[in-house]
Amino acid sequence: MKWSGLKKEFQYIIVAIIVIFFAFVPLFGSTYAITLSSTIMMYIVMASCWNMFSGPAGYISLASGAFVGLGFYASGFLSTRFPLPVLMLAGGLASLVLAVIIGSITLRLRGVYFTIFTFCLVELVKAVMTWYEIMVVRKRGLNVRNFGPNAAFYAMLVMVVIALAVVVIVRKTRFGMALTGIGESEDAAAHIGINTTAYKVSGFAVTAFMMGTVGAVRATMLNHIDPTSAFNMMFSFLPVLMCVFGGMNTFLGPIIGAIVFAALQYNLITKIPQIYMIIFGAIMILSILFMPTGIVGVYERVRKAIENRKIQKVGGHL
Amino acid sequence: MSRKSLARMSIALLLAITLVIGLISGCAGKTDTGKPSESNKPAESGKPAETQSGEYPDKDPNKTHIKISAVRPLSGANVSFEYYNYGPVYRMWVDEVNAAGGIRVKEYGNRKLLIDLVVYDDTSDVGVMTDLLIKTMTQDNVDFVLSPCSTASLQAAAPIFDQYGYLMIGAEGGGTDTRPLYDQYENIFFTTSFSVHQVPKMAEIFNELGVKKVFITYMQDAHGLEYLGTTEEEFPKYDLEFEAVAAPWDFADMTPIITQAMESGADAFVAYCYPPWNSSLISTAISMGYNPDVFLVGPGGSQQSFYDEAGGDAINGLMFEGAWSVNSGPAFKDFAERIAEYYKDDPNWGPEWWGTAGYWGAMEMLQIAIEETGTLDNDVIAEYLHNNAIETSLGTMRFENHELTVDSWAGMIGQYIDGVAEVIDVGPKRTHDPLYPKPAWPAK
Amino acid sequence: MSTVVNIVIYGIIMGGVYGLISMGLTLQYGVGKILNVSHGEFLMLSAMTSCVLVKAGVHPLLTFVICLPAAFIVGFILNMTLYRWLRNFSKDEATFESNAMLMSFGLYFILANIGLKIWGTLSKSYQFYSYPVKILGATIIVNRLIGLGIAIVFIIAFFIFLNKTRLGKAIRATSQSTTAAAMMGVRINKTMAICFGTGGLLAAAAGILIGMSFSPTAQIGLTNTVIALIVVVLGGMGSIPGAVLGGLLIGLVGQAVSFFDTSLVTVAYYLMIIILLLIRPKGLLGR
Repeated sequence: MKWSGLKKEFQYIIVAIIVIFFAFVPLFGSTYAITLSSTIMMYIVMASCWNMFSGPAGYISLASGAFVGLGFYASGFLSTRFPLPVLMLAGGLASLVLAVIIGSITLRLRGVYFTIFTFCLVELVKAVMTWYEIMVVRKRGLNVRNFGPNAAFYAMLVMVVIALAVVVIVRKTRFGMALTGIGESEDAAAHIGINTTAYKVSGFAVTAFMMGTVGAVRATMLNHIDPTSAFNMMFSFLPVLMCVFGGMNTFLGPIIGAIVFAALQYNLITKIPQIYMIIFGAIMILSILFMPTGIVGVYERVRKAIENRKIQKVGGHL
Repeated sequence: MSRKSLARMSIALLLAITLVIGLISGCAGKTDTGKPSESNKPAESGKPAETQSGEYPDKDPNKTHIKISAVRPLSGANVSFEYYNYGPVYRMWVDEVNAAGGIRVKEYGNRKLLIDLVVYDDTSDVGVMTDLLIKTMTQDNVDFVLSPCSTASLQAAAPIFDQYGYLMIGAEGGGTDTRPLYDQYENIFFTTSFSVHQVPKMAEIFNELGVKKVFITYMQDAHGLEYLGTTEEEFPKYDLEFEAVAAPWDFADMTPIITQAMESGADAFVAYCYPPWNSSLISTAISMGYNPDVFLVGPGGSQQSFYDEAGGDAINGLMFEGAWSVNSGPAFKDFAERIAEYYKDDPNWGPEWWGTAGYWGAMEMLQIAIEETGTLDNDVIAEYLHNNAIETSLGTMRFENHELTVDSWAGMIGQYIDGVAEVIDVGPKRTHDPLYPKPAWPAK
Repeated sequence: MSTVVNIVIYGIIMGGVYGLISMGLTLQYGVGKILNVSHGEFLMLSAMTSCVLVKAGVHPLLTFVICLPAAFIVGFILNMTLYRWLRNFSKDEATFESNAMLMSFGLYFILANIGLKIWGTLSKSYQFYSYPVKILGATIIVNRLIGLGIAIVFIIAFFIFLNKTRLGKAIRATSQSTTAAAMMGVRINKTMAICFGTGGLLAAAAGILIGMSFSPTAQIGLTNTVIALIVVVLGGMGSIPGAVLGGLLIGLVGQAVSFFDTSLVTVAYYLMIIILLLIRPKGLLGR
């Protein structure tokens, strides 16, 4: 994974500023600012973790909706009896188990096959859960205990810190290099003795775990969940879109993408409601076309252009 | 990297962060205004702030508008509910109230206040809905918030309305699933009739018509199972025999269902289904020449445009869950004409004969409650709504245990007779004798 | 016995439509390496448009003449603009493949919401040859058989087009190797655009068949995309006969399962895929 031309320390400082900014929201922000920040932080976790695995390894996963949904249901089943951290752990573990099972079956699929499978996986889990609710419990949906906006906020904040730490650790260790190696050439990576399957499955599982935990928190913000709201395709699309928007395969990209995109979404939805989804699609197309390396990439290109001009100028003087 | 470029970069990034912070605060704001402010609360007793007769103190001479907001599915899967069902009602209500000069509120010097309506789009997503509800309740300084759409949304919204001290009234949704909420949340009002109101009436009608056996196909979802459950309780009371088959979950051919219905020899065919299942069942039944004496469909069937789209005169005699009719009384006729006039420029729009009258009644009840209590305090108004039968233009309406009573409705089961939606409930609400047996589909 | 006949006949009827949808998707992927997630939206737009046209008095079969060229042109233009630009910008094939797929998600959002904006969620339907006939004890409505017939005609015509015409050969050459085809003098961009347009055209044809036999709404797009994706994975990505075979299989399995428990149809589809991926990851007829 690239560091997008920025100094590492500098990126850490930016991320720290963002996290500290979020941490201060409850002190001076309104309830809505807290809720919105929680939502944005959920997307930061989702986008960063998605990017951690899918970015370097090149496996575009659309299974996020399934993992978040399992987190939702972990909360739904347990929220009346257990505190929030237990719910998060349960949601994470449920997603982890699913990811390990699915991963060991499907991660040998290459490229587009994997994407299709994960795309369909969300629908599969949704269908199973719907069937379970209708035929077994005979009641649709579950009420979830709301721990209040502050509890959800701090849970999300903790998850952001953990997620970013995990991302940094993964990219600094052998793990990250192995994933990059897989992305560049899976056969070559296998040839030099990297156990590609083990790395892919564990990378996928870590991503799933993080998504399950934020899903569990998110569910407590909704009060009531059902398969439609839990296994929501938007949870699969948005992290990808945020990474594309911010800059895939970079450290800062998903974070900035998630913040800008979620803030933009909640702003636009109240200003231009009816055509918002159409604009959403247009933004997606335009950002893929014109900013394939995302906001971070655009910054980098501008900086390079400036530097090049400077070099030319210097050259001219000589 | 040189120190200079580092400095330039940090400036650029600081700018970027400021932009982001600005974006967030732009839509989040900094101050928590909370509920319309405590000062809105009337004198301790919770009674209108009317002190001396004829003289009303004005709490805020600058207030000219009652602010009402709603988080509604303006896009996404539930968009048609907003378009056909509750949307037309609250929009027309706001316009009519404003055209009449507003609502008279005693605690504001007995002045007439206009309504200022803000509607947000939840994109049919429960998560967005809850976030935006908190936004509108804490940021917009609104006096009332209308309900979101769908049973699932209402279940998610009820705790939020309760937490921020708003009463919840109106909108599509509710059923046996939402009943447990009544114990937890005081100020929620459901204005859609559902299974426990409709199925007993249906059984009564079937009994009167002499129906012996009913073939039911149901969606395997909350709606279908709820109605099936009520049917299992109600039909045996009249010795009605019935056979129930699940409708296919996916978009599929309905021929096997209709074949089973034909083989069952039932007099009545009932579909506890939504569109497109409904319309698919109707067109398949027409194709197969399946002509039961009764053909009844669930949600969607109450939309005039559904009826027109599914065949119009060709499906004369189609029964639906609902119901009200232009023939329910002069006020209903007038209301139907007004709403048709309101939407006359929109060729796709058509009236809806299930909840519309109930939603309209609820809006009037809210207006009357404001005028009677003389306050905008949600708790006081909710208490008034709980305890009073209210004389609306569409008859006397009353909330009992958070739901409109069966008497408040114009009817429960409807039938299209010669293109007109009629109420066929047994008793005084009936506007037309049931067309039984249903005329055969026209030969091709 | 009659149950088995029912399952088989309805399975084949659904299979024909599924095959038609999937053929378009597999063609777009096989030649242009574009996994078009907005494929079902072409179907939805065409189904709804044809219903509106028929209501306005146009003969159902005449709507083919209107919807199919329209879908072809839209697909052609999309490929000549968006996807060609993307191809030029992308540094390698793998990047293009993933970005093209993401871009089609954007298209999906746009097209699906345009459909919802125009038609809401109301279903449309019309009557066309809608009377039953008995075949081997099973009751079938004639328009389903007409639909199956049209689907078969399209499938056969498409095979002839691919194998006998110059353009078809160019398409097959391009799907095997873009560079080799370019050296043979095939105009790659135009060929790819034609393929993408043809994919849209096939989806539109399936859409009209669905409008003829069922009551479509503006929300059927994604469901059909998912079915097409399943069929294509089952049959093998890029394999046209695979799409037809996969469509038939999915049609039969869907009918058989819905006979036992209708809510398990989707589950059955995915189980099939999982099993297949374990045994033969490239699909039944994949290369």
